[in-house]
Amino acid sequence: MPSSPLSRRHFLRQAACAAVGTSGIASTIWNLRALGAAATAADTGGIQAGDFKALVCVFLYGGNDSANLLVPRDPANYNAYATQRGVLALPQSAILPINDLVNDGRDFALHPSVPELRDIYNQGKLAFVANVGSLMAPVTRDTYLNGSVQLPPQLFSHEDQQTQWQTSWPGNPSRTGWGGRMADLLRTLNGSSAISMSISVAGSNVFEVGNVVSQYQVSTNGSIGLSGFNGTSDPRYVAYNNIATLPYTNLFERAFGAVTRRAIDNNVLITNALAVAPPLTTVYPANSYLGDQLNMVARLISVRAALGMRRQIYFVSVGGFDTHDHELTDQPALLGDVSTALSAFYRSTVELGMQNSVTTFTASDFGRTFTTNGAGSDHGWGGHHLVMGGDVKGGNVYGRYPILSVDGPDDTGYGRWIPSTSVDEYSATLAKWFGVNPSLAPGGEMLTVFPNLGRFATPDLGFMN
Amino acid sequence: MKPSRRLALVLLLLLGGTLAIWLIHRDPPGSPRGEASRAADSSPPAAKIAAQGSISGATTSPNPPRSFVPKDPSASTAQRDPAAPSPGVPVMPTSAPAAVRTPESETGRIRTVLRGYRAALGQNPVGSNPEIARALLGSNPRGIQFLDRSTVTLNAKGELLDDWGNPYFFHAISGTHMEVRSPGPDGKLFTADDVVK
Repeated sequence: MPSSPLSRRHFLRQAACAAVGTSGIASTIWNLRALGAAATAADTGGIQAGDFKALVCVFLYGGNDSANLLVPRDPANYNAYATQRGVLALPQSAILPINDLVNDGRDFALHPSVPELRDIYNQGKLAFVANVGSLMAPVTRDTYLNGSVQLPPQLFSHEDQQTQWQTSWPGNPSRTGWGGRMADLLRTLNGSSAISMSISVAGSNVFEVGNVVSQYQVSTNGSIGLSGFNGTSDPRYVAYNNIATLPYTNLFERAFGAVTRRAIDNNVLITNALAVAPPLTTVYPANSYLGDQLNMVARLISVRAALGMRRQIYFVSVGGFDTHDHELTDQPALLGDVSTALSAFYRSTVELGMQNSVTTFTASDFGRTFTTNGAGSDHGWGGHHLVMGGDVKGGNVYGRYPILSVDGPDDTGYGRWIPSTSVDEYSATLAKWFGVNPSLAPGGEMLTVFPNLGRFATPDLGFMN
Repeated sequence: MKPSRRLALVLLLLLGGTLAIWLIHRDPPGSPRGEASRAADSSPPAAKIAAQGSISGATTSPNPPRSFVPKDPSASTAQRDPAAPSPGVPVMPTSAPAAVRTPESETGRIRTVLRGYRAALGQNPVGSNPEIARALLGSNPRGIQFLDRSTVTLNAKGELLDDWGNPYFFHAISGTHMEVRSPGPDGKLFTADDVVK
């Protein structure tokens, strides 16, 4: 073969091809390393054999006015709060002081209706995370006003923001929630358990929808079985069972039969497990739907071994937080209910000896406007949330509390705080505790659950052990 | 009769029948629906979409402002805003004639305009009253004027006012569902005399 002198053009062409080939090999090696790391994490992942963890989402539907849940109490900030909140401002003499570990010159207090939460905070088992909200990327007042940053679609709208909180994937028409995606990744931890890792006591939700794992819904009385039959020996019940078990050739018939069969089996499994479980002695508040839901969660945690589960994700909810009017009369009752119900639930986990294995956190549509409309507050953006459990580094306020100045650096205008912490960061901190591999490697577990997490500075806010 | 003649006769009858049906059911000249159809037919694509969304006054601003600012906020009071529409923009009245105008019809008109906004842009405008007012007046991604400034009342904050001179309240339920609330005669929100659409 005749040799030819290497021209500059020829050299550049070959070098480009080599570069492309090299980057492909490098990419493959990186992916193999990530896969290896993910596999190792799935095998061990810091999870000891026989351990158990439950994550409980308490969704406050309507958009909680958390500006009156976590209130500044140092003179300068309280004055700013009182001046701008107008009729909604809580009297300084009524708020419940707490101490936090952050030495930023600001001191905080809680709403007078949540003394139980204050007590758990003071025990170091409850923390607040300030100014959390749905974001696609970090936003400042300038970038918000000049439109140079991508914003989550339909800010300030109930349903959109509820969905974005539950999917942690704004801007994407996601059909799955971050709890569901997490269950998809970790489902093998539950071995052959027939019960879904994702259990809702509050009906359908997006949070627990996975690609593989379906949410299992129970009521405050336990699992929901077939009704209208006179016991399992009822000939109609037997016939229905048999129909569901037939070997159908049609795909839809087969799927429907399998779902029905599974629902019947799960009902028997849960009902039998709860029937023999020792009753909890913790007293829950009367006439509290949230309390009833959390009581059922505690009972299901108590039978985790009988159900063969090492991981559970729960969803409970309470509504009524859309306080455009009557806020001063409605919110104390709502927060009081949350406080007594969460407190009872925490005591239940202590009674079960599972307080370090159960973490409860709040979510809500959005925070509300800092300014008042005269009778309440309107739809805002960032809001403050709480995390509770024995594994929480409690007694502290995490994140950055907004500067309480309407039209100030943290305001979009109209008293809506621009979130300084994204839902992704808040949720990823919980997901890491739950067992999701914290590596942000492309294609890794954390980015599978939170695809936008890499855009934010703090994937672990540090509030979990 | 030859088959070709029979076919021609059938086609002629069909054509005649179609013409007769159209003449009977067409909108009379001057009717809102007829005007909207004609506006849609002669408008740019964006305005056509708006017209299909049941808006009577949607127009397209040739150079949509990035952020709407009233020309003279201090002069913008609870009085009817006499400001002329953007140059070159065809103007169509968006309010009902005074004889049939009621608070209910006005609140309903805002809701209808929002429906048109959704038809054109796929979702509701975002924010509170002044932000929504700006979007409906043309400060939106497609520069469409869904409201004619000469037919609406704004206050100094740029808020859209009802017939009693009070700001409407916009309650965003979802990207496609917006509750429009007028405080009603007492001027207070969330009382029994509110007009809600």
